[in-house]
Amino acid sequence: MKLTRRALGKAAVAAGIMAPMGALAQAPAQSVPDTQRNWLAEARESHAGAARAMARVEVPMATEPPTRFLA
Amino acid sequence: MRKGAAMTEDVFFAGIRELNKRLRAREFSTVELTRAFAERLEKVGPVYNALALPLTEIALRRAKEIDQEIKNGRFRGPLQGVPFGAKDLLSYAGHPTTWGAKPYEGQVFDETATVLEKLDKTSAVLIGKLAMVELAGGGDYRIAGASLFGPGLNPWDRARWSGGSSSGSGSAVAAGLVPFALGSETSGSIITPATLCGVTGLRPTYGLVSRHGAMALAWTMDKIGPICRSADECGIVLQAIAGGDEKDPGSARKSFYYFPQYARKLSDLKVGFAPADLDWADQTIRPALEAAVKVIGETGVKMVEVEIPDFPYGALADVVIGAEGASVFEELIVSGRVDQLADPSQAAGLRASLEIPAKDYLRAMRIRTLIKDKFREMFSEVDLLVAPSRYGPGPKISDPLDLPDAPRSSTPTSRGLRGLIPAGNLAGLPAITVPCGFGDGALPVGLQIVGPAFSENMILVLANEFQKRTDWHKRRPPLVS
Repeated sequence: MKLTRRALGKAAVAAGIMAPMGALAQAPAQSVPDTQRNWLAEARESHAGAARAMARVEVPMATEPPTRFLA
Repeated sequence: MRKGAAMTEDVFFAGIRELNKRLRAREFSTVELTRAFAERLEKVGPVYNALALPLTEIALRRAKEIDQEIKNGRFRGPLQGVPFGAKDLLSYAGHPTTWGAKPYEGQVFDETATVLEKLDKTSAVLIGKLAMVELAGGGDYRIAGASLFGPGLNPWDRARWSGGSSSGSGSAVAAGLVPFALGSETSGSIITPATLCGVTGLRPTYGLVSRHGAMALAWTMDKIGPICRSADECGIVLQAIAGGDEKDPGSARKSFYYFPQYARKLSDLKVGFAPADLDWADQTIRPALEAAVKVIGETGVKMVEVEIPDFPYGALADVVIGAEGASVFEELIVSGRVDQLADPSQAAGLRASLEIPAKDYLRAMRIRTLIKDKFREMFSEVDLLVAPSRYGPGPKISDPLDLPDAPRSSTPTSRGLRGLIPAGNLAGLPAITVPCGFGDGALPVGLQIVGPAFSENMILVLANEFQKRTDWHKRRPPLVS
């Protein structure tokens, strides 16, 4: 039920809409074969980047998470 | 058509209302129609890697009962006798439900999903389970082949991806293998395959349709909805599957009645759009999108320029889906069976998601409250939003899905409405995608219409009007031999 990061909008990353400043792991250069990529490190960096992007949002102290998720 | 006569190609693209009308007129029986679709699904489904499980024998038994209903004059509405398919994330008692993933290949439930029970009560006929991305893409997949069934192939060009995660639902409807299908969406999994396959897909308001019997990925974001040829058909199917369910803790306990005739007049509606969206879109699909926005403007609605509120929607969706999904699949991850997934990046994504700190998840959830507030403000200014469903054509099967963008000569100065898919999903908003042309050769392009919670009738009014003025939803992909 989830779309890939790319499908969420690759250009949005560049535009700072989705996850600015490396929230999403940058795909390594094409010359790096998939078998040599460290998927876990990339996924961890992706989450760290998401946390950095969220940290830039000002959240008033009184803001509670929704107790129900209806819009 | 009487016994022995072959179904023509037209029947497979006829649509729900026409099929039901012809069944009631006894042009063909439910058994004949079911057999024709089921054989086509079994034969052609594998061409697109769309079929997860054929249910032909059961379907034919059910069709026989429905023929008796019709013979006795018991008419149950427009879905009676109409075959359909369901994403393999919905349980069907006594039969495999794989969630598209190798670790769950032999999984069998003893309960049937609420939505399938509801459709059975309308006498629609389930003819097969449809392929999907493994675990609905919960670990952030990066290849089209992230599925037990292989990559979803697009009926318009088999070298291209069908979209995910409801890949089989999108391609099966597009290829005329089923008149309609059920898909699910946590963040884009109905809108994207429907768009890339050139069909119409509706994501309902969060909580309107029961998820009981569906694989959970993110409890606070999962939705189930229809993929059909037209918006009108999405309205018919949504009415059948919507409604409160005490077995779904997220249920809004609301029903949906498809009464577009009682919705507000188009001339009373304000529709938000962003001219910058055209600048963001890939140049190959820009003309189709531009023409589609023009058609919307000609319907009599008032067009108002808007910009999406500034939040890191993609990052927020990643954190919420990651944290909730890792909790759902904790046993799979910890046991190491997660390594059986087809996409190693997805296995790694799930592992990493198990490490998301509570503070990050809670921050994401608190920001969701701010997002909901901002969209509430926006919908006090406009009634609906229109935006490209996707900003580029369907990727090639051979390409990884995380390729960086091609360099741009200039960056648009406005955000436009980019990020509306994760934003709408984080806020629980309903949306529909309608086909609006072709780009990059013969690849479908889609326009999405998004509204406030429980505004499905208003969305459908505009989508219906768009489809009265265009014929993109009637186009058929090339035949396969």
